[in-house]
Amino acid sequence: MAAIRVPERTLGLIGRNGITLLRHISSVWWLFVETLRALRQAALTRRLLGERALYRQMEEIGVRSLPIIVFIAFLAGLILAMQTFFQMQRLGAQSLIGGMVAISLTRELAPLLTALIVAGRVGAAFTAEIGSMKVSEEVLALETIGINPIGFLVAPRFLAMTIMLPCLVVFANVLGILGGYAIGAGHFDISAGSYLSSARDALALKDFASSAVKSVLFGWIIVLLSCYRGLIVEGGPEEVGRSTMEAVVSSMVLIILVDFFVTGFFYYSFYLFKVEVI
Amino acid sequence: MAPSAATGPIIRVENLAKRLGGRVVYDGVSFDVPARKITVVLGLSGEGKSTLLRILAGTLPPDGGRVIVGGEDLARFSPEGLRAWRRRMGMLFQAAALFHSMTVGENVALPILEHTELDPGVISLMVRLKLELVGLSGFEHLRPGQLSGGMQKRVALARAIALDPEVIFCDEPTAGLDPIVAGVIVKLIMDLNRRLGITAVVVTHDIEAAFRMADQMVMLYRGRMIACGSPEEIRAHPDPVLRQFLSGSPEGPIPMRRSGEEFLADLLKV
Repeated sequence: MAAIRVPERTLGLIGRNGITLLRHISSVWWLFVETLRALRQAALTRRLLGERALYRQMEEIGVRSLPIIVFIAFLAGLILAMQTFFQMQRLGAQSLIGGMVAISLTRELAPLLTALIVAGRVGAAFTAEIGSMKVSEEVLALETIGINPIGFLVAPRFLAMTIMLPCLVVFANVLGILGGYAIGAGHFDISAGSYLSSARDALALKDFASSAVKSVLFGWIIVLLSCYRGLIVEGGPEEVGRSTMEAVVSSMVLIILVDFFVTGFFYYSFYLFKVEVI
Repeated sequence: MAPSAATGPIIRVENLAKRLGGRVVYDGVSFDVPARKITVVLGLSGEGKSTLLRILAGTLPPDGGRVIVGGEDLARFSPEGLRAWRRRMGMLFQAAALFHSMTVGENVALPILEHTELDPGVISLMVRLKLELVGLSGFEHLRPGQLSGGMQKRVALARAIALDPEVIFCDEPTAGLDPIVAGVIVKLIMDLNRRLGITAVVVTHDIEAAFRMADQMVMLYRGRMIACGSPEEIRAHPDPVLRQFLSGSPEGPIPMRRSGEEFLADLLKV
């Protein structure tokens, strides 16, 4: 009987990494639950100790990210319009560009691009800041004072992200559609009226719903993964750097994975089961 | 919670055992922390002295034995009980651990904000008083990053005593400071003890500072307590390890140079 050589090393590696992954997943879930609990506590006692942190984070996530988001979304609109114009022209359907751009942005590009930029800009900062607090024993100091580090550090960031990311996505949508308009009207002679009415007609309530769901979920992914990575840092500055990189990469991967499932839920499952919900 | 008697132990450590990452840090350590006295815990670097303070503060559970505070096992404290204990204690960290996103004043105010409902005016008055106590009044609006190491440590001390705790835990209060600043910190801790009756547990390997402030000394070596007593008793103690530690001599029972095989055998020994 030919013996099957079991590549023990490989199996062991897969097993160990799998267990580590499961442990991370359950810890992030725990962090999510604890954050919600801390927020509920703050709502009940009507005091969020990191209240000032909330406004600072809202400014950081929202106001300070706005210029780059607006710029990127406008460019995305320009690119989309250019890419689609010649395809549409072949079918004699140039007038549908407005709808095409609006749908691509609202359903997909605006939440995705915004989330990826915020993951790199804000998520990285979260991990680095909380990670260095962990390394310099500031997190432990919070605990000995009797302050729950999750309520103090994670909850304000979670709340700020939940509020601000959808706002950013709205801006990205509007600016992206304007970008498409700039190409369509400015270069390809589509009238403003037909561009805008095409955009308006193409969008359904479902598109806004999926955009909203995506932006909230993506925001949670960013804030939970980056804060988690920061809180588990052990060691020195090089560990903070590595954790930051891992937080950004894992946020981006998870964002795209969740995007797949949400899109599947909103557009594919309804089609699959022949249900018309919205 | 039972009020601690003026002279009885405020904390009792019974048969404490702790492992970290498979390494035995403590194996059966017992001692009392008498109220209104300064207890100094001596030990070599890497002996897990900071771990001891974390266990006493209730942020790290022991693997065996008990830490008894006010007649109750710290491990069995309810979240509210633990919160009450945190209010009664203050911790001075080795690297100060001030919150760098806040000003000096906000750092000192944080425990007060967390545990009381006082008006901002009262809080800022308390903060000024505490900073005055460590000789840093007028520094409220600076950031920790703008202060020297010694000043940061004094701010950290002000934060630790912000709520007039019964006990303060000090982790290497003199490490990394010049002799004069170290002397200032030691004097501050002694003042807090003598004038305000605060019990202090100080973990250090600075022998000079230890003998200056201690009412009681505990010597830890390899996870066990090898001596406990007044400074005079410790000075006269016959234990060879303690003798070597106090004299700082490279010759003695504490191995400084070890062969690889010896070390490996030691690691594999259960």
